[in-house]
Amino acid sequence: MTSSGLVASAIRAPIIITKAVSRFGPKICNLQRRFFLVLPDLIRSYSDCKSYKLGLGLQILNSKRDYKNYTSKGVEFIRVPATEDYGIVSVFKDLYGNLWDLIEHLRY
Amino acid sequence: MNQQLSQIALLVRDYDEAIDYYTKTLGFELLEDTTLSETKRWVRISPPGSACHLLLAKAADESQIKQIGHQAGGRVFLFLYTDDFWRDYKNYTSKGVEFIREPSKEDYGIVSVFKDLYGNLWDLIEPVSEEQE
Repeated sequence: MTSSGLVASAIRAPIIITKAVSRFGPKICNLQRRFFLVLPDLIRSYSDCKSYKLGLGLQILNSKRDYKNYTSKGVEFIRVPATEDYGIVSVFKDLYGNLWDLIEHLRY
Repeated sequence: MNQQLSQIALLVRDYDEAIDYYTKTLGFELLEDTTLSETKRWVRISPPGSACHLLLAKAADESQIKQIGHQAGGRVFLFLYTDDFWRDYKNYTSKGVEFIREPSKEDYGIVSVFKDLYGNLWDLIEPVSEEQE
């Protein structure tokens, strides 16, 4: 248990995050060991950013698997997967219209 | 299958105002503050030790400004778990944080509800430790 934490109430599983990588620069924050903290794509292109503001960032380890799975279940992606220097990213809507980044981060 | 909820966007009125409040009043850490353009910055903050972070998202138009503080429609939006409820409760009240529900002991732990500078409601919770359960 961490000393304090911002925890989604339904998510109690330990989360190990190791490196945070800003897509906007080379800044790397070492947090712990294994995974990468992935940043929601608030501003990919400046024309995009007027039309929506992302609410949540979902970090995953296999975006192709999840993208296929989600699309097969009718999840609407408002941005198709794109490969960026930090990883693969796409944006989907949940049933209420909340926007999620789905990101598979580059591993180091 | 391994997925992580990595961070949540928190609408703010002003970056520096928000950074000041969340770091100095609530004691969060500033993880990143990167300038993207004249008007936009990539600002991430986090409670100490938390794996899930907050992205401070500056409201960019009138409709977004209206949503500041109302991202959960008036319900508790965020849940801050702590290892010492009374330490944080005293600390926050001494800094003027408004608690809208007095501390109470529940089956799952000690809990109260406070408002942040924008009116977002937070649960402050010291969960019952596993040994006590």
